[in-house]
Amino acid sequence: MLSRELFWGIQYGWLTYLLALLTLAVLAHLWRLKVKEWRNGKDEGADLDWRGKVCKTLGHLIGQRLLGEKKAVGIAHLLVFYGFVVLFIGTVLLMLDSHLDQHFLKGYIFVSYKLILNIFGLLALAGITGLIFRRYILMKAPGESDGQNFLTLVLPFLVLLTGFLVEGSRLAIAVEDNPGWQFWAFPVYPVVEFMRSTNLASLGWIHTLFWWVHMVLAFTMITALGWTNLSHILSVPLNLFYQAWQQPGRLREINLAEKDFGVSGLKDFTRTQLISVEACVNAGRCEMNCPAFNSNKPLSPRALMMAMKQYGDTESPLVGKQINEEALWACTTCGACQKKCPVLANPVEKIIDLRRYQVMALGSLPPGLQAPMLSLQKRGHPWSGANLSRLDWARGLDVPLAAKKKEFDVLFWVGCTGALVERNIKVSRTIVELLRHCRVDFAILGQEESCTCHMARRLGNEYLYQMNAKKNIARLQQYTFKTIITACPHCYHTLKNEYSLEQEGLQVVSHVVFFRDLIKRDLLQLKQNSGKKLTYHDPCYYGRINQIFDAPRELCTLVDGSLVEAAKSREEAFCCGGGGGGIWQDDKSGDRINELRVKQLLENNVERIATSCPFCMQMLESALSSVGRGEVVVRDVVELLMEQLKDR
Amino acid sequence: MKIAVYAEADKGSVTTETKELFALGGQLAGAYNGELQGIVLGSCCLAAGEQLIQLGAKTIYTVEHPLLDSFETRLYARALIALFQKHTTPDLLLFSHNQTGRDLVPFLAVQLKAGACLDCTDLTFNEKTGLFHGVHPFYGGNVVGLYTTNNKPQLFTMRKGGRDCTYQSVANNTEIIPVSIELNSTQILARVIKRTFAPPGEDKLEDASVIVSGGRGIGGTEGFALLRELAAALGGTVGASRSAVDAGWIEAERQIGLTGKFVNPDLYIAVGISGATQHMAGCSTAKTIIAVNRDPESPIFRRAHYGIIADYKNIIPLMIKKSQRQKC
Amino acid sequence: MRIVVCIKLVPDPEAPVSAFSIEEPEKVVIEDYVPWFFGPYDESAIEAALRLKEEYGGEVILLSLDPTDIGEKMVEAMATGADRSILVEDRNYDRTDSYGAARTLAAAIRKIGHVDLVLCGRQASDTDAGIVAPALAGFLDCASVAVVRSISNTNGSLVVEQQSGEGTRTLEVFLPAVLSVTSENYTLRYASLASIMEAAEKEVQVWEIPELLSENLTPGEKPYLRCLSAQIPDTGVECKIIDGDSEEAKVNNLFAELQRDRIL
Repeated sequence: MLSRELFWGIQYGWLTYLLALLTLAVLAHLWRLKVKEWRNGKDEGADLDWRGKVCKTLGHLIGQRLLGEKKAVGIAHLLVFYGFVVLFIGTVLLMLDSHLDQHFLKGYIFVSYKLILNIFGLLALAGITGLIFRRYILMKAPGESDGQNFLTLVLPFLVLLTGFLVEGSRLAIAVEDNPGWQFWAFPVYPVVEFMRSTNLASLGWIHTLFWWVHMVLAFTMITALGWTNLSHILSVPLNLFYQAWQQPGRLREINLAEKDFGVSGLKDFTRTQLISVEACVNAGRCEMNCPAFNSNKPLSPRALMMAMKQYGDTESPLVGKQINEEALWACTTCGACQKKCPVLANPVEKIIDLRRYQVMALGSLPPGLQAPMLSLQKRGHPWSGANLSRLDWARGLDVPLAAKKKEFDVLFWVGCTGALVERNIKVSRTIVELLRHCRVDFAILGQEESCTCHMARRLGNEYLYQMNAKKNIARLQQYTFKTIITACPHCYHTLKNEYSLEQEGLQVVSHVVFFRDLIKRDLLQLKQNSGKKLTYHDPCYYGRINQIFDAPRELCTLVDGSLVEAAKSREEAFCCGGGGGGIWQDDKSGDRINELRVKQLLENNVERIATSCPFCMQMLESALSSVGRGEVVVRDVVELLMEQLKDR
Repeated sequence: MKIAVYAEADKGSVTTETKELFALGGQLAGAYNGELQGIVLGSCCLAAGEQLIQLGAKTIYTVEHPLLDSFETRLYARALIALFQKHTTPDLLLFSHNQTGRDLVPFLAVQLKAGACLDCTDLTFNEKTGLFHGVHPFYGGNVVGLYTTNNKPQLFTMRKGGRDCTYQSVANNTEIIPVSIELNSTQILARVIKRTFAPPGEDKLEDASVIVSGGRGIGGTEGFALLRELAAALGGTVGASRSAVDAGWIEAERQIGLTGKFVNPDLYIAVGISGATQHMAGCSTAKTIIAVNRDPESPIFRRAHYGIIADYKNIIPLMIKKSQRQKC
Repeated sequence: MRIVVCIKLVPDPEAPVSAFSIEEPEKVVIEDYVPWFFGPYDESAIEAALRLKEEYGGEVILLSLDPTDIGEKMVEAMATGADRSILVEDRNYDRTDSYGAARTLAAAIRKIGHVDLVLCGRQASDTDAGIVAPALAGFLDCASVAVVRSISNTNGSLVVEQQSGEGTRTLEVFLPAVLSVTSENYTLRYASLASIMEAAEKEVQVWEIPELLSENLTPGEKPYLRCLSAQIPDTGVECKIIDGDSEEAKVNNLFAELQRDRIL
């Protein structure tokens, strides 16, 4: 009956228990320092749903979020990850088996056990070899400050290698006691044969040597969880646990009365935020997808997170020293980094927290953003120079006002941009005409509407946001209606996810979904398509952040059968550059994000670009003009609908 | 009824603004049986006095004193007050709405316990009340009001308005009365150290017949170089809206608008200008306004006579070429 | 140097023309939704004062009439760096009466005492008059320079650059003086929320009009300047949009039209 003896051929095997204790002590010490830093962070209060979080965490780990981009690397990591998981379970099973009276690792169970371990060990070795090859041969990684990375890769490699050597040398010596080893220990076949053929097998001390080397390496690797990038083995699952319910585009709620103005130094972050900073593994998936980085702005979410992770000082201000001010303001809050991060580190939330301190505590704003910010503060909208009221756009349309009607079905939230910027006013007027056409019982707030302050919030002015949110919610509560529709994804996101209106029993619906549903109910009759090649640009706050992809495409297909998908669409959509204050900033360094996007959209020789966001509209039209393609038109999806309306 | 005009001279010759004031004063004097007077302060008095006779003044007071060579608010106010004490106070006293007008008139009004309405586009007379009324736009030009003051003299500063200066009636028996007053150098509260003038070659906006003006849409100083080229090709000069000046793309002297210059060209080309009231207030009297703007819904297209919807960077070079060809 | 900055709450200078209507012959009514705040030139005056204080030391006092609902705005204004503020309560406050305002301000400034410099915006965004600063100087009988674009203190005397028709006049001004400030070089700094919260602790004095009455003030006297009637002018013009297949065509068409209409 095949079985496995613990500490076979090893004297003083009990030393491993001592080593283990020592290892754990060292690791605990190293991590104690980290944890102490985390505890410096703000306390957020208890969250009780740990069961759900555990499930989500396991889901993330098993699903291996890293697999998304850079497939080869993802697969290699997958092999290493599962390899070590299986080997770890195998070691635990062996420990249990040796201490139980009833040994279970025998016979067929033993054979399967060994086979699985060998297969996974081999796969892990292949994976880690692939990663080493990639880093040091393909990428020619710099040698000098690479120490940590080197150990991160080389330690597991050596542990696996020596593990096989131990197995190989043991089997070389005790080959008769292990019949069928060629099957279930096939990876070590070359080792065994070599040792037997050279009579090294008789040298029992080789096995002992390998065994102790393997042990020491293994324990060193475990301590390395405290002082190399292998720490991600602990920090990532921990972070996945705390971030289990992380939602796209969600920001940290802060209490201004307690003078929480955001983040200046690391100690101002909450504990879970510090854990997520620690969890950053420098993967760079964020950077690959960041519109600012891809247009040569000084912002890299990866560099930002690593700068914070590596900063030893928890007190000193981060911005200006560790973090470039221009980089901080280059973020468009598109959420691509958040979506692509394999460890759920969430750079956007941190950037906004840093912006908050800059604005609310220091009063420091880039010059281009001062005018819209001051306009928001003074007159309740960022469009200084508009010289219009919130009702001027509707002149001649006789739009019903909520204050007069009091009770109605649908509230059309116009938004600042839809009311004050000439190009976007056209879309608002179109929506009113469509609503009338479908006999929808609607009203607008008119002068009573105040900015949702989505932008203000993302520019760091939480105070303005909270004040206006209160004002708006109180205003909305004065009227009786069931649904709010809006044509601005930024307003949509804030009304739906930040104002918590759904708790009041109100439904917040995007204009694309609303009109798609009206078509489904046959309330809008459309003519056939116009044949001008069309593509759709996903606004970040409808698409990636709120997962509205299909409704606008259904609408586009109805008006124009020749809808083509742009490169980088849906989840992969490249931001237009307008969010996070981008629309008001002159792109001083690098290329223009909107020009990059427009070039992507034009790749299919399209004649029209459809979108569903007033900021995207402005950015794309401006870009088309500056790249000399002014003949391509940009239309909101509802404008396309209007053009195809049957009875016109 | 005595209608007096505060006359100003530049290097000995009477300014266009003063001529406009005399035209206005002359009209009012003719219509309501008033006597047109001129008041000149400073050492260029005598030469100016002669010219004022040609503009229709019946009486001209010249107040000469070496200290009056350089304008200083309180000094000039003292001088005028002394003049009115020696000779009768006029019923109406007209000033140009320029630096002197802005500095001197409210100060003087208070010390005369009279009132003054600044920045008037027109003046009317109410025969019933015997008071003059000034027309003054406010709220950025969105509202126009009719104002009056209570005591004599009634003081008004007039906006330069392309007034017809051909009205002239040379009066008979014109008198030039020199007035001597006591002024003390210790009364001077501000002293001019330096005067800098706009770069040569840049015509005065107020006199220009063609103006190419840039606004927020220009985007930088390079854009204004382009506009200057067009202005030169058309024989005109360049102007700007407040946004462009505040952004540092062009000197403040070029600002046209409510708080800048009021211009009256034959041709006004507004490039990258949105058409906000405060700016239009400065150029609305232009005979022809052409707008070049990328935004088809820009309010400028409701204030201009002709419009091109395009990026100025593409249009202006074409216009320069066309204008240069026209010349030859 | 003790600097007093006179500021006035006005309706949003960017209020669209649709927000205005005329009631009775001369009363201008502004829609409720129009916010009120300190005009851009007043803000420039505050910035000028703060910069002088930063460079030469001293005290910056904000002075305003019409205290109705002004408290919050005053705190925000002080948050930029002013030391204290004074509100003068006048039940008969008429914001269209520039001379009356100048008179009250003069009395307040005399009461403050030892004021070296008074700064105002060059004109208020509602009256567009430009009267208060020089009129104030007239009441105080001191130096007055209007429409100043920069102020500095060189060798102990105040040097200002004034916008003049053809360029710039640089003057040496003897204190005490009243200057009105224009916005080219002075944009008011952004006040953070933290500084606004701190500014709530700064001193705001409220003075009543009777305290300020002196022999110069004659209550009940008719205002020096009165508005008799107001109207909202119609400024529309028929605009001919020049079209063309290309930008070159558009320019050619424009010149053709201009020649046809005898403009060129």
